[in-house]
Amino acid sequence: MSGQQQKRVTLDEVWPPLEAGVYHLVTNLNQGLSAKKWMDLYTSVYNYCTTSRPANTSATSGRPNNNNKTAQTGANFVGQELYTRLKDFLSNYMKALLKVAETKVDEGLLHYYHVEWTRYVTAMKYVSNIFQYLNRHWIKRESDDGKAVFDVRTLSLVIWRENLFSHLKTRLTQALLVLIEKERNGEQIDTNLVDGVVEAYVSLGLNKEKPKETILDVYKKEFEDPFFAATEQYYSMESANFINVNTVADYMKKVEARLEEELNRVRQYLHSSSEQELIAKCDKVLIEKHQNTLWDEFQKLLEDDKVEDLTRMYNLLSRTAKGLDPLRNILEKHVQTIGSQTVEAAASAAINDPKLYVDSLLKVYKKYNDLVSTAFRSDNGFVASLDKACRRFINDNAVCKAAKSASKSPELLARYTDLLLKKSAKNPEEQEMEQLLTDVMVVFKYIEDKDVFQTFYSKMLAKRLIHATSASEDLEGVMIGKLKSTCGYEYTSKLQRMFTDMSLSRDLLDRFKTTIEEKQTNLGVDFSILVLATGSWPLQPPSTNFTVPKELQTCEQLFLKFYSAQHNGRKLNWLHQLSKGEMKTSYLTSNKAGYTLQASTYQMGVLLQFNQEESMTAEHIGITTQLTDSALRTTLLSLVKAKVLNVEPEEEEIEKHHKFTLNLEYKNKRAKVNINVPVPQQVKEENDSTHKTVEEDRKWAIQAAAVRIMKMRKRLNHANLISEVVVQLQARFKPSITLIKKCIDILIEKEYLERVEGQKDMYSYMA
Amino acid sequence: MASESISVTTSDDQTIQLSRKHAQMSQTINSMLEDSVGADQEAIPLPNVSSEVLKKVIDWCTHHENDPAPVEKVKKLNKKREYKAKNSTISDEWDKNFVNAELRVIVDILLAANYLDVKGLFELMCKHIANELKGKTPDQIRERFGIQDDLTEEDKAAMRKAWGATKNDS
Repeated sequence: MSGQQQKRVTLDEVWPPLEAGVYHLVTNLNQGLSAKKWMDLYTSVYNYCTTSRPANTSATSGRPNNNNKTAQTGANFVGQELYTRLKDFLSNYMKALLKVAETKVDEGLLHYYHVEWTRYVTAMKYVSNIFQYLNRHWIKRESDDGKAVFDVRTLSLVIWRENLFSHLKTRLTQALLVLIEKERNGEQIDTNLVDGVVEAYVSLGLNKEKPKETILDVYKKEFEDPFFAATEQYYSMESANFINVNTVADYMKKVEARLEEELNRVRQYLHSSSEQELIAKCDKVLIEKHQNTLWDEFQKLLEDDKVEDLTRMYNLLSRTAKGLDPLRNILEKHVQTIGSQTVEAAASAAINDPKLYVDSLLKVYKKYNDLVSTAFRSDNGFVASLDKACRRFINDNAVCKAAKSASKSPELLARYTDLLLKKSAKNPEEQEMEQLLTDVMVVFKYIEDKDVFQTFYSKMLAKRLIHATSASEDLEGVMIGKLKSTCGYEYTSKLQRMFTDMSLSRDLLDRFKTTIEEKQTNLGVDFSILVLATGSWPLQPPSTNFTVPKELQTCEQLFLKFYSAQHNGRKLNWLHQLSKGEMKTSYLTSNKAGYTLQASTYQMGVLLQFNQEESMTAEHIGITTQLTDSALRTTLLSLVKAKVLNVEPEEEEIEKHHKFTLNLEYKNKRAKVNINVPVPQQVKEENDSTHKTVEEDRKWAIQAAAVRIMKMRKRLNHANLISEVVVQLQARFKPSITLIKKCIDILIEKEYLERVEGQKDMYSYMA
Repeated sequence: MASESISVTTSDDQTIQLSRKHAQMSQTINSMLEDSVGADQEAIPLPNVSSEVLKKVIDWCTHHENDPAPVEKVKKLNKKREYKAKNSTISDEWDKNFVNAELRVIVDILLAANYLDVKGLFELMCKHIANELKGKTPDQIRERFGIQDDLTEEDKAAMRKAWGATKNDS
């Protein structure tokens, strides 16, 4: 059939040169193999496999079958005998290696093993190629049929594993572990050697299903498991010893170093799959076991502000499941303590100094906020602890206790903001202001009684607007914007309205002035006005009558006429108690040009009387100005204190019969003098009234909330109603339970709610 | 830098040059080049391939030198422990022409491709021979391939029984 030459060969002819070739490769690889020789060996394998004939040619082709239908495979492949001879050869070679290996110990053994392994693996690669024909046909067929026959390369590994490795594995692993321990103790070891031997372990793990695939079973069982055990033991001992004689801070440094070291170890000579479990075991032994010691030290580190150590502790404990839990509580308590202490230290001064108060709060907040964001990586739990602590010490501290009011905090914060926004001798730069206002918002977020803040703030804003003492309109807008984004539109709508009223007034005034010019009327005075929407401004009508001096009557009347023409149906109320003006003296010798006195309208009313008369009693002045007693007294007192008027007799209290005259000796360094200064008495009264306003507003808010809830629910029991009211109002303030109860009773009286008969504590909505 | 061509000595003592690229299409020669030394200096013996056949092999390699490398498919036995028959259509026109030769030559090329492990060529030869076998009775096959009938009647009867064939199929 074939026209080619094909040698018929027997195994005994073929095997000796093959054996010699294999032997040469296995022992003298570096001498190399010539191409001719290679071809010879390959060809002899080929010839053997293709020329030998099987023993029988019966119908069933010598194949064992389980059922009647046989697997007819066609040609029979030859190779069993050659395979066996090769197998035997390799097994013998293993025996020779083993003999030598048994004379070696420790590092010497590892070295020998490594050298022989490397040589063997390379050689067998070449051998496998020479036996390629056998691999492709007979071996492939047998292994497809499920027999334990491998390609030559895999076979070589199997033989090595069974005949050499299995006898040496215990000693090899032992030697490896000894070296690793040496390295952990600080000695230098031959890491390449360890790497090479470990790799050999990995290569010996063969997948039974797919022999060409390596799996890690040998590596895991013979090396990894003993390695983990040794690691745990080593570090348990080391950590126990170390922590007894060293500080916690030093221990943590050591742990960090060791963890880094183990990671490197994996990269240098272990299999990457070991990394996760190795690190987990180290964490367990080095960190988790000593958790309690670390927790106990945390408080001290906080107190001593040891940021680096705190960072390290956080990093280490975050590796364990529950390592951080106790720390959060400790932090919370600590911040609260520090906060309270800081405020207490400044309490006596701070109660009247808003800047000092707010600065103290911010100091504590900023310090621990930094700590949480750097050392604790803004961990949610720690942020929450910080917030809880801040909430406590901002709303309940020594200053609040001294003032006997929980609402002292928001009041002081509002006053601080007022200071910032008022014109002053040293206003900070725009950018700095932004930062300061942002800081205000930081504290604001923690304030529980936000409605108190709002009431004070709007009062102060009104003052600033009316008296034109704002440092910058832009900044006012910025602040309102910040409040809006934190509290929502409703909170700031009135403030916004106040703002718009200011610009509306400006327009109005311009139009009025234009009208006057057109009519060529002479007002007699320089006149400006603010028209404010009653509902939006926290201002009261005057508490006294007042006869407008005739010098001012013209413009008031003209303006009224003008405004009614513009807005039919609106009513204007004059707030003379907030108005002011400037007057020029023409009667004083000390200044011929005349002093300009900036005075309140009431003061002006009084002084202008002296254009008519030289001296008047208090009673007389009262009649001409129509000022009530207390207003009159206050005004006269302020004029006396300013030394513009003289009084006879000079006494503390002003009586009806006291006589007043202009002080003709009046002198002042300045040409322009402001005599419109409020008396301290007034300020305290104002404060108290503001707090009262807050109380009143709260009652209304609670009632409104309760009605809303009941309308929705129709029926609700007492406890639930209270809790829902609290929830609804919590963004604005924390209502007290007694106050809510009072309000419920008021609502029952007003017949919004009623008690359900027969059911205790149940209310129902009355439509 | 390895030389661009290899010389080989065939079974009939002819020395033939072939480019390295074509040589490496034979997996056997490829392994040899990787594992041994001196392939550049002297001619490599190919004791199982004649010059006539080698030339044909080189022909085929030249035509297919830019083919993508063949992918090793893992052959699995199906449930009945039988191999599923592969598609034996020859698609390439040049190949069709190539196999249009004496059967003797085809078989020689087949053996050479097996020895040299040139997968594409081996496949092609198998397809062609399979096509020659399909649809023929045993006697027809014997005639076509020049095989002697060395089976006894008993053997034939046993085989027919095992395979469920009738006497007419012969």
